[in-house]
Amino acid sequence: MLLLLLFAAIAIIAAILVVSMKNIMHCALFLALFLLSVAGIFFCLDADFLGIVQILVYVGGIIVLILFAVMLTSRVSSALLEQTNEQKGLAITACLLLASAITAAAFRTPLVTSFYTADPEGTTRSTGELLLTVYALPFEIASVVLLVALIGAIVLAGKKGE
Amino acid sequence: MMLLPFIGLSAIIFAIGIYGALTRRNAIGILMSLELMFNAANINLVAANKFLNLENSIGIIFPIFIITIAAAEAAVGLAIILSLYRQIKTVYVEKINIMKW
Amino acid sequence: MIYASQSLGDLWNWLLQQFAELCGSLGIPEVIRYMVEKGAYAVGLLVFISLTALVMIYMERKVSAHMQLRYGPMWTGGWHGWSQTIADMIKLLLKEDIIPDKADRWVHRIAPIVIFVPSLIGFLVIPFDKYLIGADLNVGILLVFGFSSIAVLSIFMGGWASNNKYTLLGGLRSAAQMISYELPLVLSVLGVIMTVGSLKMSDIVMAQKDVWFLFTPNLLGFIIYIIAGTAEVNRTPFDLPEAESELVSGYNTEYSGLKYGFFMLSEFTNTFIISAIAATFFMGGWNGPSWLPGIVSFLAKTYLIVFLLMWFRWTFPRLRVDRLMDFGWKFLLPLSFFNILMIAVWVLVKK
Repeated sequence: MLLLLLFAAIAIIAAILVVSMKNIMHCALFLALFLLSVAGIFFCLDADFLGIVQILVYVGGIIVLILFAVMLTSRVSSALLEQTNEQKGLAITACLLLASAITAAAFRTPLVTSFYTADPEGTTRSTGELLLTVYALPFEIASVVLLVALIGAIVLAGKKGE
Repeated sequence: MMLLPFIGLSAIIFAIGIYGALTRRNAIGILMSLELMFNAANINLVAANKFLNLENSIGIIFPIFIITIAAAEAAVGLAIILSLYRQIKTVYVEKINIMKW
Repeated sequence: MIYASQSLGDLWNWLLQQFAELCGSLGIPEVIRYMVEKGAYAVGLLVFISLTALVMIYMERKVSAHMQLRYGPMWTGGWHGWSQTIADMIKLLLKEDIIPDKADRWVHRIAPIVIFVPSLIGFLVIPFDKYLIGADLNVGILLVFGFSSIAVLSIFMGGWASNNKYTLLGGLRSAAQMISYELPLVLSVLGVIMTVGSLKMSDIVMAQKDVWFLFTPNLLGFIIYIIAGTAEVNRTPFDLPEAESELVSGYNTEYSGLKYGFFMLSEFTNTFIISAIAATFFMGGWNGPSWLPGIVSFLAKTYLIVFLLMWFRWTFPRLRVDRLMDFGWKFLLPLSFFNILMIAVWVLVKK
């Protein structure tokens, strides 16, 4: 419980820093911290496999991709340009409205709480079985999407005329 | 422990993500804000699975697909940003206006 | 009672039981007992890690020296220069800590910590002996790979924050290499995971009670694992991130003193983790002859792999960067897919 609060606090602070820091490299690093704390929240919520996937794919994959892009498009010295545009006030208002709307909607929805008790053997086995039986079609489609994204990214970012 | 605090948490993170997507000038920053929003949705789903005991643990399966799509999105998005950077030497979205006159 | 076949794991388990009884009689709450147990294990682990680093640095020097028909350090401390590493550590501690003027100070400072902490977490799930494992998690092996992928971030941070073209190039190369070789690394242990049907380290060790996976069709997986693991810890012939003749020292060029020490230390701890996982997954972990304590046979296997990696270093020349990528993506990755297919067929046939 205490751990969960800690992870949630880190997540919120890191998320705020991601959208407000000036240096885009620091933003990416705080995004990594945010993703790690989300993985921690997953662990606390009995989703151990998902937490590991979060670390492996997000921190090990996506953050590294983002860092690659940051490195190829900016320098340490050029990092002090203004990073936010002039719609700041409007955006803050809109976001506060949205967050309060979601929370209000959640409070009004009657939810029947029935706890999910995780298998002591972990969620890995059940996740794997579900992915290959009930969710086999979405699983295959996701793999095709990944393949398409792979080829698309190579075509878009690859050098021309080779 | 109840579901509502988690919905609140994910609403806050989602709102922060929206704020970032609206105000960032750097295209990579916008992509990072998108990742924040994806994660807000994931927290929501996992918490729902824990406290509502969804059928077929869909709250654990669905985030896996979301993470997959997020990976594909990041790869393609960053590839687009890189090829834009090669052509017009900037990643600031208000300067990317070659389609308008 | 401690029984006859004394081993460190049994001793640890006996101590834990005694402690639990003591706590029960004194009425100490469960939480505090748990924290004291894990804290004691963590302290033991830290001592072990520093000793391991000392031993491995000395070993690296001596092995490389003898492979080149030299003696290596011979004078410091007397017998075969045994205290050379300690002297070097004191030197590193006393050195001035320089941060380059144009560097990004915070990122530059944090990078050594970010590389060192994940390698410590990796040690938590390594089964040294029967009861000697920090946390026998359900996702055990994935935890090691997940946290070792954080090391890429640190190399990026170090390379970028130093604001130096050599470090930047080293960081970019290293990240590309580690991402590429992480795929074959994870896929090669997948064969073992499929054979056992569990991600738990203790289950994987127990499954090799009779025959090591090295002597089953998983041999191909072992070979892929060793190659990809060498690349993952940036050792020769895959040490492009710190190719001395091209990039000065790669991503850690601008580091000095204790921070450089952390980078070096994490290189050795990562090598140890990779070797320990090889020993656990393919060579039976702490299984061994009954007269040998489990931890001895585990460490012997691990150091055999460490020696193998050091042998590679003085046998193969460094690869060119494009050939490295070609080798990873066009040869090793398809081979590991083939390995998975083969193991799947084998598992089905065995059933």
